[in-house]
This record gives sequence, structure tokens and C-alpha cells, in this order.
Amino acid sequence: MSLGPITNVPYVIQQHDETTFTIVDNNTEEDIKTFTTLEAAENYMWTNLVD
Amino acid sequence: MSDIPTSGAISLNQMHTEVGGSSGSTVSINDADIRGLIGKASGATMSFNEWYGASAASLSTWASSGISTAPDPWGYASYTSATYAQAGCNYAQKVDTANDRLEHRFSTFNSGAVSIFSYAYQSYTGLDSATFEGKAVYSVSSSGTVGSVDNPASYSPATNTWTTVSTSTYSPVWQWVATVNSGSGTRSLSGSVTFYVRASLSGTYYPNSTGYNSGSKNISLSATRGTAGPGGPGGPE
Repeated sequence: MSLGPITNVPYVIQQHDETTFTIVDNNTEEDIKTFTTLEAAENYMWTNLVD
Repeated sequence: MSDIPTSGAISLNQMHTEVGGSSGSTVSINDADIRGLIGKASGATMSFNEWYGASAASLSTWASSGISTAPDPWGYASYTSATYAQAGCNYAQKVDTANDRLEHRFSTFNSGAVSIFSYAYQSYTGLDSATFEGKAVYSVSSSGTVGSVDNPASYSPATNTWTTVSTSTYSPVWQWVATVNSGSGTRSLSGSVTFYVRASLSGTYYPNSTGYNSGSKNISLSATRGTAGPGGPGGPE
């Protein structure tokens, strides 16, 4: 089943509580890195993971 | 902590107080609530040592930890693109028997950003062998003629229909999506939904047959393809 939007970004961010945001590989479901804010997670992903 | 010891002498009275009965009052080993402590059917063969450490089954209130407002913030997305516009939201449940909890997962998304899944948890006691059921009661309407909608997605259960919650994957999933990938204009979805959960064990529902619910949540999704905005005010004549 298709969940979420159709984008070319192979990652999702999982929020488990107010200060835990984990970048996860959407294909392998492997945790990449965890941050305390959504902004920090997004910045890391766009800077270091997405070409 | 259970009134019933994990070893040694064990009494029917301890079982009775564990399920909320008054100490010293009449009780039978075949009472539904006593059998419910160990998930036995009426008339089944039972021995006292099966009750060692048994706890009365219970389910905590809706999404008691994690993002406890689940699913909120949720359901509001508006996205405009010259080529491909999509806005949507989803909500799903899963039983995590390893951690004795029900998981709620929810997301609101658009085609211009990475998906963010938020999680909330609802703990339980003594319900590992229960059947958890989820339900959504919704009324969502579509407007616009361009593009398409999932209202909801084909795999989402119909409104007001109890569905067994999986212990291995997020299922059921309810998802609403508005998409415009050709032509020009806006496609929207608007409405409200209330999600429910309950557990069934040996003929008893937890917390009851109505279940816990999320409260009413609004859905407002809008996808616009094209660069033209709404018309401006008229100029002087």
C-alpha cells in the first residue's frame, strides 16, 4: 500500500515524543540519526542524505 | 501489582479481589472475570497454578504516552505545485505484544516535503491474547473536478466498522489524499473523523464495547496544480 506522498526522498522522519525525531530509511526501516527538533532532523537530511 | 502471588499458597479470594471483587464475598472459579485473568473459556480445564501472578486485564486511556494528542496536529494540508500537487493524511494502529501496548501512528503530508510519522502508545495489562479492534467513524466530502481523491484509500475500512488490529504491521490504515497531476485547479477533501479502539478477551470488552476514542478530528486537505492564484479585486472603471 502507498503511504504518504509520492516523492523521490527515500527517508521519513519518525516522531516518538515531543523531543525525539528519528530519520529512517524508508526502504530498510533502518534508523539513520535522531535529533531533538524536527528542524534539526530536516536540515541534516537535506544537507547530508539527499542529493 | 497483582493481588495473586507468583508462587506458594493461592486462594480464590485473591483472584476475586484482583478483578475488583470484595474480599470474602461469594465467587466461583468459573466466573467470567476469574477465568478472564488467564483467558479461559467457560467450562475449560483449569488448575490453580495457572493463576500465579495473573493480573486483571486493563487498557489505559487513549494514547497515554508519546504524542498523546494522537492524531493531533493532523489532517490539515494545503499544497500548490506547477506540476504535481498532493496533500493527505493517514492514521494507523498496531498491537505491540512485546511491549504490552497499542501503537497509534499518524501523518499529514504533501508532495513537497518528507513524510513525518508521529507515534503514540496505549499500554495494557493481561491483553496479549486479546483481539484488538479499531474503528473510524468519518464523514469526508470532496470538492473540485480536477485530479483525484482517496476518500478514503481503497484499503481503509468503511466508516463505523470494527476491524481487527494487526500484531505485525500497521493495520488497519485510514488514509485520505487529494491529488492533481494534470490540468489546472484545486481538489479538496473536508470533513471529520473519530477513531476508536477496544480489546476483546474471553467475551469481555476492554474498556467496554464502545471503546476509547480520539475525539472528533477535522480533515482539510487541498491540492492545487498550476500557478494562477485566485482572482484579485477589480480595478477602477
